[in-house]
Amino acid sequence: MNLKIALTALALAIAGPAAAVELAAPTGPVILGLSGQIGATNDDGIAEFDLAMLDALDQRVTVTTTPWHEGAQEFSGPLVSTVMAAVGAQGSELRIIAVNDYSAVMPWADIETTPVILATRHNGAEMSLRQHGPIFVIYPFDEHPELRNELYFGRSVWQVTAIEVLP
Amino acid sequence: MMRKRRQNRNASGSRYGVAALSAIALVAVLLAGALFMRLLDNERRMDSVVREDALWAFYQADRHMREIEKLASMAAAVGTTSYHDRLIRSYDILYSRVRLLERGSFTLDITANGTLSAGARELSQFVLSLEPRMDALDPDSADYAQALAGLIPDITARLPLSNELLIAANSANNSLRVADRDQRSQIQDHLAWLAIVLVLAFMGIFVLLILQLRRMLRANLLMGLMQERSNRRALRAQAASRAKSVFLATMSHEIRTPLNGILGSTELLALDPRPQAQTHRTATITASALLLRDLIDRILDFSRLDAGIIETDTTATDLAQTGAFMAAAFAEGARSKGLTLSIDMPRRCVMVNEQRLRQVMTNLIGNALKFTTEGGVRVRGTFPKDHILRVEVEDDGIGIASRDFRHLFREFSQLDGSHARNFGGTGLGLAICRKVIEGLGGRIGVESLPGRGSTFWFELPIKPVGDAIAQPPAVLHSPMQSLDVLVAEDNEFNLEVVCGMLAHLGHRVHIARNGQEAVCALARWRPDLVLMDVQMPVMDGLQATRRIRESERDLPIIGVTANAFEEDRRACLAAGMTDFVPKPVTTGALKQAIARLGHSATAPLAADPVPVANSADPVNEQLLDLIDAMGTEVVTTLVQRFETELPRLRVELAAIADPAGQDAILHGFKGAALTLGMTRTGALAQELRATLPLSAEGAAQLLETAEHDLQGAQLYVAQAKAPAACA
Repeated sequence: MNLKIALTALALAIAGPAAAVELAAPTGPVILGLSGQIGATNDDGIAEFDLAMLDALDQRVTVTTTPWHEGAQEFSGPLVSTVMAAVGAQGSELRIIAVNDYSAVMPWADIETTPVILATRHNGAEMSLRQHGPIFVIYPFDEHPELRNELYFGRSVWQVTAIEVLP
Repeated sequence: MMRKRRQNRNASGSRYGVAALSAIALVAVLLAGALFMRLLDNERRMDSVVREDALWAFYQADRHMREIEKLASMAAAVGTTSYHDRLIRSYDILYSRVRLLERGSFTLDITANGTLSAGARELSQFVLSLEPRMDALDPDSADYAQALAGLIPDITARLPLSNELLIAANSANNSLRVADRDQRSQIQDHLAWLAIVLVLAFMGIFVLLILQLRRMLRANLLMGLMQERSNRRALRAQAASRAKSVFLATMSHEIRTPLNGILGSTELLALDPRPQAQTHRTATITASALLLRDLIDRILDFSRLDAGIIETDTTATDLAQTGAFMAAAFAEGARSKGLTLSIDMPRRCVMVNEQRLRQVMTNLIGNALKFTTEGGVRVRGTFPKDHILRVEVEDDGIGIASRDFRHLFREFSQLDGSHARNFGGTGLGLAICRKVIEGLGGRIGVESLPGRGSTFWFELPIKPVGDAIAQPPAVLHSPMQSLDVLVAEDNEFNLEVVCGMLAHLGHRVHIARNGQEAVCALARWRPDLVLMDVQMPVMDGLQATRRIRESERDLPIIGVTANAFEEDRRACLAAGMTDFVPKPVTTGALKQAIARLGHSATAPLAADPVPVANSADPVNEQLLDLIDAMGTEVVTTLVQRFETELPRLRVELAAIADPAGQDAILHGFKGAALTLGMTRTGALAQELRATLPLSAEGAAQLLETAEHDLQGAQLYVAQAKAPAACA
């Protein structure tokens, strides 16, 4: 098992972003586009995801209070790290871009040490743009109270449309 | 006194000061802690709520309001779908944002601000109210532009509101920041003041403590000085007490000399034929004088013990022999009172101070005999432990009540006046015993019941040496032995007397004139015994003894000294002398000293031909001793020689003025006088030696006394001749 992971990592390292692996093409509306230092693409240097592709990845449920909602809320979606693994991303930072051109930089360490998710569901329902959808970066604030500060609130981008993997 | 009180007040004042300052410091610390906790608590409360920046939210709302207004205008003017999509998306974003404005979870709590709160609600309601109209927009429909044109004025009308909200939020945010800063700086100010108070309080405490420390140091110093002063006083008091003891000892010693004169004169009186009544009175005088001398002897001993002078040196002692001495000493007394005396001492040889052991036993046995009228006295020696000798003296006397036990061993205490009347005594005997025994590290005590007799006991630490030689003391029964004796004596007169005595005892005599001559003589020849005068010209006896001891370890040397003090005896023994004989030398003393060396006397003690003097008169004893040793003729010659010495003494005392020369003459003369039993002359000569140079009156008095004594001696010798002639 370990060997397998190691071999995969090795293969990815050798392949690198130049020799991009082909990623399945989205069938529904594209809700997320990944670019930058990634190893798997399905368009010209970009990995595009529809909701179904994101749903196909391992899901995590985070129940937490946020500054933007009353009371504890349930969010679900893939871990950022899972998405990064799916596209063979290798960088040091992620620039997360919102629909209104707001963007925030998330250090790579965040996705390694914290189960931060790209939430696609809020209390079990998909999120429209008016409900901060389609994707909301959710940190587990209740599990990790030390995250409750402006820095992480700033990184909790909502209405996410693209992520750029920075070297 | 005043100063002391002030000091006390100062001390208590500074104590209160320290307490008050400590309280202040404590309060300051508590207040600082409370402030700090408040600060921490504030921060924690701020952190505990998930908040967002309200200013940012208002800015975003305002921005999207303006964007929507612009996009709507563009879409109305151009009418393309691309503007419509952007318009809808911008509205969606605005929609998602305005709902947040009504919430309180901002760092800036807008719910607490009336203007902001109302404005935010108004804007939010407006944006939400747009929803059906926005959703109804269809870019493909004909009245799209019209619908948009209907929207635009409404939106434009709200633009000042969103702008005002942004400005108000910014200002509120600023004042919040200022208020926060003010609060922090206020708390910091308080903390700073508290810190100043604390520092001042601690400085005060520090200063007060230093003052207290200084006061304590000064008190310690004072105490040290006082202690030193009291030590000095104690030393002075001790010195005074010692001086008194020495004075008492000296006086007692000095009193003995005239007392001996009284005894001698009384004895002379007794020799004259007198009426019965006068004989009785002279006997009373003699008895009283003897009692007085005994008293003085005891006081002398006691004062010396009181001065802390106790000899702790021990010698190997045969206890059985000591017991035999006691039996011999008291047998006659017991027999005359019709009492039995049994002495049972173990036949063991132990290391003990024999002289003191004898003194205490003599005292206890004497007491027991004194207070017993019928029955007897029993003496037992035992070893309750290996290194403890216990001696018990049990009598069948009058007994003592237990409540009186503690008075018994006190100085000058007798149980009651009637005892003193019945039995006499100094009341010093038991006190001396206690001092001696305790001085030697032992214990003394008594068990008794009134009317049932008493048992006095004492325990002394001893070192066992082994079993005594099985034979009885050599002193009493041993064959005759003639010794070669070297006599070192500078005084011609004394030399003649001592030689006569030794010859009488059957020994051969060799002569040395001083210590130097004795040392030279011993280099060539070894006698059996040396009789060494302590005070001699050229080389004194102590020095000569030390020189002799450098090569001769075993040769017996007996010192002869005029001073009867224990220290002199000790000086003799320290120099290496074997034993010691006091002046004036008597045949008995010589014989006993020789006996103590282990050599035999020429005759057994029991069969001593010296007649027991019917009194303790020194004149009698000394002359009798001389007559017995050398015969009346020799003594007569000696007395005559003394008579011829007198004119020469007169001339010499007149001619020689320097004190050293006079001292030598007086010393020689004193020896001669004492040898002939002329106590008064001897004492006077000794007295005059202390006040040199000699006055004319002193010399005249000495010669007069000597002539008077000489007449007495001549008379005595003449009387001694008479019975001899008869025999």
